[in-house]
Amino acid sequence: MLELDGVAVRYGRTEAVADVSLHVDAGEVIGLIGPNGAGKSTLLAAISGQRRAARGTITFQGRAIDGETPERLVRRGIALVPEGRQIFATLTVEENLRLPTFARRDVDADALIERELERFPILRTYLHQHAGRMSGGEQQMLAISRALLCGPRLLMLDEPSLGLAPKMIDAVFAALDSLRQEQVTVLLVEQNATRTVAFADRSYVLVHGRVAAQGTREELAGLEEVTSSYLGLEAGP
Amino acid sequence: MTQTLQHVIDAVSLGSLYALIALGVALIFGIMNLLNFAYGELIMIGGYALYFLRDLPFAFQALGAIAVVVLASVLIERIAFRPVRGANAAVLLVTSFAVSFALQSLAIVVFGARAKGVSLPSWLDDSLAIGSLRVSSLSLITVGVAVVVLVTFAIFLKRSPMGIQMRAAAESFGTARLMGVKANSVIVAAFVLSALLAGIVAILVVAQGGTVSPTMGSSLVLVAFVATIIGGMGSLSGAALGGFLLGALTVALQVLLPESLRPYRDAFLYGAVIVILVVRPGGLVAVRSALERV
Amino acid sequence: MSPREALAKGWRSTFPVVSLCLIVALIVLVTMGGSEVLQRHVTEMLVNLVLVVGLYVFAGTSGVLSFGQMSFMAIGAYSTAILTIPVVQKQFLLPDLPGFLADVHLSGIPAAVAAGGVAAVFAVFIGLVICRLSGLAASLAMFAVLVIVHEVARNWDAVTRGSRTMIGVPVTVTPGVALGWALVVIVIAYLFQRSASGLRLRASREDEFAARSIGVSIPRERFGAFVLSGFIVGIGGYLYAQYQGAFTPNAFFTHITFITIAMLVIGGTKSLSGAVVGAIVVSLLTNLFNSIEDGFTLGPVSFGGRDGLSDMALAAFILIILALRPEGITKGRELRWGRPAWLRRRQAAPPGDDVVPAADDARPAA
Repeated sequence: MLELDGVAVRYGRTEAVADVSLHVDAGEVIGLIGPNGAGKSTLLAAISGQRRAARGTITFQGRAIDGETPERLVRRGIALVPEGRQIFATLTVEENLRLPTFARRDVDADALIERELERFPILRTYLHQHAGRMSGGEQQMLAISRALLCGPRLLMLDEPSLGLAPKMIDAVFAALDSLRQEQVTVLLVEQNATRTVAFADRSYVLVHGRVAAQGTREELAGLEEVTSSYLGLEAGP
Repeated sequence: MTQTLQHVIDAVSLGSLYALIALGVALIFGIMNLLNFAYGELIMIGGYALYFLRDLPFAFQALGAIAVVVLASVLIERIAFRPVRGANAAVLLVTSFAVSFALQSLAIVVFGARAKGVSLPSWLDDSLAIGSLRVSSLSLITVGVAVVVLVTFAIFLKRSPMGIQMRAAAESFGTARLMGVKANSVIVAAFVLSALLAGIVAILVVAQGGTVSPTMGSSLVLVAFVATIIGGMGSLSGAALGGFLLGALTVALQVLLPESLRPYRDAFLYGAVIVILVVRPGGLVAVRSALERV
Repeated sequence: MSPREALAKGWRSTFPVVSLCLIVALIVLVTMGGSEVLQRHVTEMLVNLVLVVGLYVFAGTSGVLSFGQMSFMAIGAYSTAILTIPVVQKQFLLPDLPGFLADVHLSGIPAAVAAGGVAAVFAVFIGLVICRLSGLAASLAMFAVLVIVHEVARNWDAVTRGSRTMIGVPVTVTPGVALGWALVVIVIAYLFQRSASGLRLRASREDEFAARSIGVSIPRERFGAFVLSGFIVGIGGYLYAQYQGAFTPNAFFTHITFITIAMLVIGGTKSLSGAVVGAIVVSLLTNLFNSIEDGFTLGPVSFGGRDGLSDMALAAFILIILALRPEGITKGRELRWGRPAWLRRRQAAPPGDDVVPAADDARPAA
């Protein structure tokens, strides 16, 4: 579904992503892990249209998508849950949820929103309040629902567990699991390496803007280097 | 007592006018971080449109003028601002300054530098007697129009899909796009709405002064900028409030200053503005941290 | 370091200022024998150059574009009038001047320095307030200052003759005099830029938070630049006054503000070379546009001249530059010794005037 080939992305003069090739097939859950500064967020920014790739190609469902605007890519079926959640604090929860439905045609917005409220009942409590009042974990739920309301074929998440309490992290992964059941294709960027590798079907390890290792959970679990030298002893629970 | 009431009415009236202007500027600023110097020239364009259409019945004249302003605003966005979209604040400010200058010069080229008279229907600026007060109908109309516009705006922003998209874009443009909000649609909508405001303001200003000139917009736009900032950048209600306060302050200064200092009224006004900027740099209405996370 | 290396290093570091001075001097020399109109254009260019360099000293180094630096031009010009108009004439033109102002008389360099000094004093008081404000607020607060100064000048009959023309200022500014001051001002700006204060300011321009973290006090550094800027722009006011001999408050309002900002932006806001190049290029352009304004014939079609066309053309030009090359002609770099940038392949930029590489984008997160 998604294919990156030799992608490089620059920030000013530095190359945050030097040379990355990966692919995501329909229905898969793919993990993208690596130490800080490895270029993971930058890569997602490139795929979602927020930055242009300096080199290489990005193909989605057979079409090259370099240079497309973010809003066009949403229509094509790519949705991003950004780092830090980035929910609209001054809008109500309901407005946050309704926003992505404006770009879609022929959808029953109310029904779709209702489905998300079933998925994360906590959202119903805050439905008509400013989204900024919710806790970090609750906002993460909102961010995921909001992205899902874009109706994506590919859902990308940038460090959804960052700054969350362990119980909330469990809730996030539980939500991701139910997405997997629903056959949503997921690209998950995380710092929590062990958990991600265990959860995803396949994972890529990004170090200094390059793919240092890749494989299924079985293949990677065995690799000592994955947990220690590449990830700087980032062993999770 | 009657005197004071007169002054209060003047203050409310001028405050309402300034609130409308401030809203027009703040709308664009909230979404694009652009302080539109050329907004004053939009008002000027409205004025000259009224002049150009002066032989038509008032309803057509007014609607025509507003239509011209909207068209001009959309063109300006497309030609001058779209190429520099996303640039840093300094570039945007200078761009709008250049557009403002270009439009003023254009007006001078086409119409000449001298003011031209435009007479609008007399019911717009009539002297009414209410009890012992003499009130100009324009004051009442200004306040009335301002209230209607502000309420309509508030409803639009709160309820309509475009309103929600605009509020989302104002909070975080990039994230809004990630949710499928079309950048161009939101920006053009903002320019159209602010142009509507400019057109209305033009009618009110011309009804008051009876003339149009190339520089008629420049002093007004400074008020709007200041109102946007003292109201708290990014807050529409703050800007409207700021505009209102500046209008009231202007009238207050006019009334309270001793005769010898009255010519310096604007100097005092802007002095007060600087004081406010220093004392409350975040604006009068506290806005959620505009400072980027480090 | 060997003497040879030291010499090379010295040459490299002074090249920008030397080359700028040479370019400006060359322009004046070349036009020396020209018509009187040409001489006038050159003098005007030089006066504008001084103003733009003054603008640059603050805006270019701190990154805050002040929309009101021309207030100091007004202060400098009116100070010049008060200081240099012969006492007898002054009694007639400005009968209500307080005692010592009525009696004082200066000329030449002392007058210029005094005029600049008065402007600098005002800059101290204004700067104490302005330098605390963040970029956008400071820019607009300065515009408010411009309006205030304009209002005061228009109304303070005793000192400024109000909105009536101030006349009788001795006309002493020839292209040579203007050139002298232009060179002085360029050197001062360059020395400031290279000074510790200048470097600290430019660090803050690139990244305010990083600069604060190494102890740079931004308001204080900005203050120094602000006062120096006021001084230089004040001298520009002096030159203007003694070139024109007469002026009104409108000479120091939005038109000149736009022209000087246009010059700085088109040349490149972030470098001294930008200020100088911008002044030269825009002066050339406005001369060109002005001759168009007088009307011209293109083949069988003749265009009538109209007032305001040159302003429009200049505005259009600045818009194009902002869209295509927002960093200006010089892209914020100084003139450098060595092969020009387009010959150099991708090497790392040599350390020098670009203190910190321009970081336009946010730092990458992960």
